[in-house]
Amino acid sequence: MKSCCSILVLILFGLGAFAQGSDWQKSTQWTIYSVHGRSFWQLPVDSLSLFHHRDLNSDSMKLFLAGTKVLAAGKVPVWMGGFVTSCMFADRKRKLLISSYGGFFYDDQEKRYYQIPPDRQKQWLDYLADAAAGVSSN
Amino acid sequence: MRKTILFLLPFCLLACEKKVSSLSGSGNLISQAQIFFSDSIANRGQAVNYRAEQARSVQWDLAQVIPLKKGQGVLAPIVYSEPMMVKANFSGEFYFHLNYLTQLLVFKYADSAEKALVITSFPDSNFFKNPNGKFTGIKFIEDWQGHPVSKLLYGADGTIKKYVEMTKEVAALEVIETCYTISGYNYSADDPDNGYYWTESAGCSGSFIESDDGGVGAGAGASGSGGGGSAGSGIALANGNNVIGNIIDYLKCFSNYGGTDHSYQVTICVSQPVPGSRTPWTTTPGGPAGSSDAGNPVDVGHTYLVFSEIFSGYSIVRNVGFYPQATVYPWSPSSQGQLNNDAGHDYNISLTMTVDNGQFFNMLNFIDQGNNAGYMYNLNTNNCTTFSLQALDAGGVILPSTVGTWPGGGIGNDPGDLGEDIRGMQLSSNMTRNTTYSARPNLYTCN
Repeated sequence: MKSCCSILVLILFGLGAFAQGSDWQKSTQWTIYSVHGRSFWQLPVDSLSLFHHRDLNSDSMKLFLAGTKVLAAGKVPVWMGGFVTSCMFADRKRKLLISSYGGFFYDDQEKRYYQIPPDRQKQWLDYLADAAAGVSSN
Repeated sequence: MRKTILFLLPFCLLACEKKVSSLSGSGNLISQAQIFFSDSIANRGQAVNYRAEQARSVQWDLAQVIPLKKGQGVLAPIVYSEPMMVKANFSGEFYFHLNYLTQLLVFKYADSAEKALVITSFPDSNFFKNPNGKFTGIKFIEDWQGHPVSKLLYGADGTIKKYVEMTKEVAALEVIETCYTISGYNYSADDPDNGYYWTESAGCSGSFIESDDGGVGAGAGASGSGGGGSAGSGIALANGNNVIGNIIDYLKCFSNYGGTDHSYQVTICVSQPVPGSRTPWTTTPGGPAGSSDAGNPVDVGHTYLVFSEIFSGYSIVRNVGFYPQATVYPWSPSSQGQLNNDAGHDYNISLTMTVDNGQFFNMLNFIDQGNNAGYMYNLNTNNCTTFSLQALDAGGVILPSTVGTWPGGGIGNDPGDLGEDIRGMQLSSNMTRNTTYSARPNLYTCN
């Protein structure tokens, strides 16, 4: 009985951790890419470096991402275009697709959407658009 | 500090080409400068830019007397009370501290009173690669309140160019130019989450001309305080700001001229969810794999407009797209509307139409309402495609308005159908169709 409880606790803890999502404060090496004309949903993360890209300031990204929340299961927002980025997380490169509106982004590895706090959305979009404008088109 | 002084020295030497003399005699110049500063400068006037508004102090204990060509001046570093992190679009993608890159120079012209200038150096990426080399980047010369006196562009080839604010007519000669901006993020060390972002223009390539004297003396001698206005107001191209805060301001460069001197174009750009298909939505890999959320129908594409005024071979260009302010869902399709600068947004088909000035401004008038409080985006009834089609309609341009459907009972205009409608259109003489992406950045600035 005791072991069953332990397993249950572990499962609940695991689910809780999954629902909580990644801690983006641990991310590094943020990069933004120019992939005009490509279906970026299907781009493998290891092919991103073939496209024009530039570094994003990881400290800035972490500031924007502080307080980010996972969108609840089933709350999948409407996508209208956005920015293709990547970062290093736990020694792995992860592709993240950032919406051009609404302050949400999609983590291609976890297959989850995240929402940044509303009061940072304008600065976040301005920053990303500014950075994207500096990446040459393919 | 030493590094900073090193790259300031050539600047100061250049400054000496104007009539600059030492502060009174050979006494304690630093003390005199400090007294002059505290009595006559520190608490006078109102700051006119964000940097000048911040609490800062002059590090008089680190001040140095520096040689000027015809005298001496006192140079002291300035330190901000709160972290002043800046970056520039010519410095690379990282922030750097402005402390010690900002300095106070106190000197006296032979025929005028003492002056104090704030010199802020913004190194470019070349300098960061070789910080022991010759300074390259842009220096802002301002008075203590932030009134611009001059800007100097230090090139890698050793040239020093002086910033000259262009009139609209002169600026038109520089349709393709590089604009320099600096931006910052400032925060309290004990509350880093509540910082403040700001940007300033540092001028455009077309607004820097070869400088004869290259130095601060030219600007300082010309006007002392340099008049009002923030540094570089109205110079930078309106690129990079994704969310359009003030649509009137954003579109103000356009001028309403009849006749043939000015021509007007509007382009509708369509990013279809499935290029070349009427599919109104496509699946995206949302939700954890294997869960009920996987494969949600959410990618609806996007439609936006590009407005252009052409005169004498030059162009004013503005991109405008209509979005929901907050995240929308098929079952929660409505939100306050919001206009964005879509200059970098992808598209796979576009249609450009030449219109007259009346049509053009009727469209702009329609666009104006996009940010109005209470003007709602609705995925079904007033989405980005609907908004764009209605804007064209306001100018008398009627495009096909095919509607698509999507899960949740949604029905409305959609980029998939619009893209194919455009592809199949018989074009009139004032229309051109483009089926490959090409960048359409915003162009032109005005005061």
